[in-house]
Amino acid sequence: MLTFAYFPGCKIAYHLPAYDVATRAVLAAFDIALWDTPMNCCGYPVRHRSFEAAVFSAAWVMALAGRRGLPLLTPCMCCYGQLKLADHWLGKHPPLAESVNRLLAAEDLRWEAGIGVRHLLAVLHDDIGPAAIRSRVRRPLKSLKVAAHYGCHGLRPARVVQFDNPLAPRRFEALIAATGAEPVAWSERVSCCGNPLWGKNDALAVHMMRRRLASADGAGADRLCTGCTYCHLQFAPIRRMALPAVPRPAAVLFPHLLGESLGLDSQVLGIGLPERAPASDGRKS
Amino acid sequence: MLAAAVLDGLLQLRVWRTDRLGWVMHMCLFWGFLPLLVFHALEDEITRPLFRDYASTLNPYQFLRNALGLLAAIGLALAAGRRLLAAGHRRLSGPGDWLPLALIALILGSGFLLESAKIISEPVFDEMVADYLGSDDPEEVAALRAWWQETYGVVFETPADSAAPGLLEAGGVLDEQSCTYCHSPTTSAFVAYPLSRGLAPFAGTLNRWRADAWLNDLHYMACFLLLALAPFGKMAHLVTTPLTLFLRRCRDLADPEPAATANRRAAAIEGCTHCGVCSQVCSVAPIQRVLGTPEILPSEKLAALGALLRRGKPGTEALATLAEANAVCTRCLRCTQVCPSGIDLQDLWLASGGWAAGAGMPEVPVRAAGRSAVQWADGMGPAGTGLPAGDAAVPRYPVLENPRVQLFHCVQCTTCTGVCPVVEAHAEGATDLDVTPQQVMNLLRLNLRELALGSRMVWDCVTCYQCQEHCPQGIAVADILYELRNEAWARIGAGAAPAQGPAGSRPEASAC
Repeated sequence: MLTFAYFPGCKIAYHLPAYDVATRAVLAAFDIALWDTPMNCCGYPVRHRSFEAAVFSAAWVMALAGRRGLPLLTPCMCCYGQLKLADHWLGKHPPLAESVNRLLAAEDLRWEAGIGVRHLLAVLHDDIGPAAIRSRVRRPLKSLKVAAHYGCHGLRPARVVQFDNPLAPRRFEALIAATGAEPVAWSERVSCCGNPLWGKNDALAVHMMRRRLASADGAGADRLCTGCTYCHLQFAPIRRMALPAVPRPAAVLFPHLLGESLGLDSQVLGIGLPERAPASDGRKS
Repeated sequence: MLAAAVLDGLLQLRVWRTDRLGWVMHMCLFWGFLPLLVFHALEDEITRPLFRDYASTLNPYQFLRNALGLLAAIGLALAAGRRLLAAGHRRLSGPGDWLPLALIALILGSGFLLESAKIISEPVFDEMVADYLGSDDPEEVAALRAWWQETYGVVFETPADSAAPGLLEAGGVLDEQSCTYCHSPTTSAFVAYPLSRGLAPFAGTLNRWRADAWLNDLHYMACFLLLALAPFGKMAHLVTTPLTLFLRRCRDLADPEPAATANRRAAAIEGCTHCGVCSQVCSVAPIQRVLGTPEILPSEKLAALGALLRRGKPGTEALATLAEANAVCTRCLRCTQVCPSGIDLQDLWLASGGWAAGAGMPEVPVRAAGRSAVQWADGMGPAGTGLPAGDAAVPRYPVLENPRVQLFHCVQCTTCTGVCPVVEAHAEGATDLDVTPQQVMNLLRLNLRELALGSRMVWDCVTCYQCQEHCPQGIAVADILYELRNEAWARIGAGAAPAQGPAGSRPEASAC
């Protein structure tokens, strides 16, 4: 049985519990096992503050999984990007790895190259595959037009994160097509949702979100689908607060789309659990 | 509510769930020390009215006092041992944690020593004879002395001649008549009695100096000291933690009145026992390890928050520390889930960001947004400040400090600017950009790093990596912007004090 060390990331527990529930449900449906252990922050949020702190925190996570000999799986694009980035830097810079491992030794941990960091979408696409998913779909989401929003940190820098072609990715659309839904072509599918600036420069963050929504709506999308905790927080709870007058297209997390097509119960998918917006920057706009 | 009082209050199941050893430790202290407080310290007020025949020297009271004292001492040893030996606890332990433990140790130690000093004391024996024997016949006193020397362990300056025929037996009869109705055998004080055997060789000096009276005073003073300090330190948790648990249960019932919320938060801040469990599960503990600011850890942030609110008018530095700590916290909820005192820490973190911002200290990126680049250049600390000690072998800014990264390879082709969503948003009037990514690269090429640092672009970069992905020269534009933001953040954090000198006084700044 395929087993991963599960890394939900910090934001899920309080802000987006449904993503955790749905991720577990769809992975269980495809017999993928998750090993749970308390894990710390991947370091992504603190990268603005300190590269060293961000890399050390990521190394800690990878060392926890490494001690168990399992690759990591995360449903968050930003966590994924940060873990891949730290793995890349640690692998390329022996003095950095030595320094990090000296600190980790106090916890009886050690970062080693090559434990493997995977994103949920990549596991669904590569380890299960669109064909296998299609064969399991019981309620094809026919006539539903879905815009795939990739999420920056999973896609770029491509040399480091190695998720898909950064200019013309296809994996997300292939997964959406497997559910029976119709992936729409739209121009801003690899653009930023704006969330990294939420709480720092809200006006700019919301402006970017408004553009993406308009673009997806213009392409005729019924749903804006993401595979990232932060993107969904941006397009769902933050948008409800900042852009209440922009209802289309509704945001959906990919495991919810997939779970629905597999015929999973909405309770099993955690649909209806609270979605909470992180704190705003407190400035009056 | 009653079930909660029993489960959370008396059995402390919340502690059991998160920290088994902590639970054993706390139960020993709680169930050892609290009954001693009620039945021993308040014997005149509580025990005597309840039990007619109560006497502190009578069993089961004498035995129970020793048993409870021993239980509390085990708890105390576990608490101290944990704070000394477990790295996670040691890092967090401060004077506020050690003082109550030291006082409890003093109370327990002086209590046991007091009891053993009384056991061996000739003056105390003489007083009891005067009070209870009802006779000063020298022969009877000699008989009783012999009996108490042999069976109860009193040490006389001139030892009683217990070998004299019939004397011990006569003493036994007298003891039966005059003493046993309110004095059980001292051996049932199973901690104090063995201790008194250790003191016996020094009995002469101890009795002459009335060690029992000194120890009595010490025991009382230590108790009063603990009582006097209780409202100010963590010992207040005897009251505030149950209150916190109670109010937390009420929260789900009551209206969210602002005043009720404020009260609940105030109680929550005071309900912390500084047990440190939250900081051990803290998601950003590794980040704290590198950045060093202790207040990043929830237990320390809560203490800082309490100090800040009590002070009324918070200082700039304290607010900056809180803003820094809040910026690192990911609101992952873990501390709230494990807190044995039931403190809704998440609620406090969510609220305190607003308090700090309201008091003029929002998080660094927001602070940066309110001023022009020139003003920031003046408000920043000098280069190299505000940074963790770090490791000299590791470059702090790995891209900018990499000698192989040649920024003059940048051909100013404007590709990065062309793909930047922030530049796009600026063109649509959503933000006030001063320079674009390619211009930042140019400033760096011209060695005007300070100016690049203060630019709006550094703070408005959304980190989407489009620039880096598209750069035909392979320059890590987004990584460089990250590094500039790291440096600016550190220096703005260090320069939390108001800017010195008039704005625009810097030569480079005036050049723009």
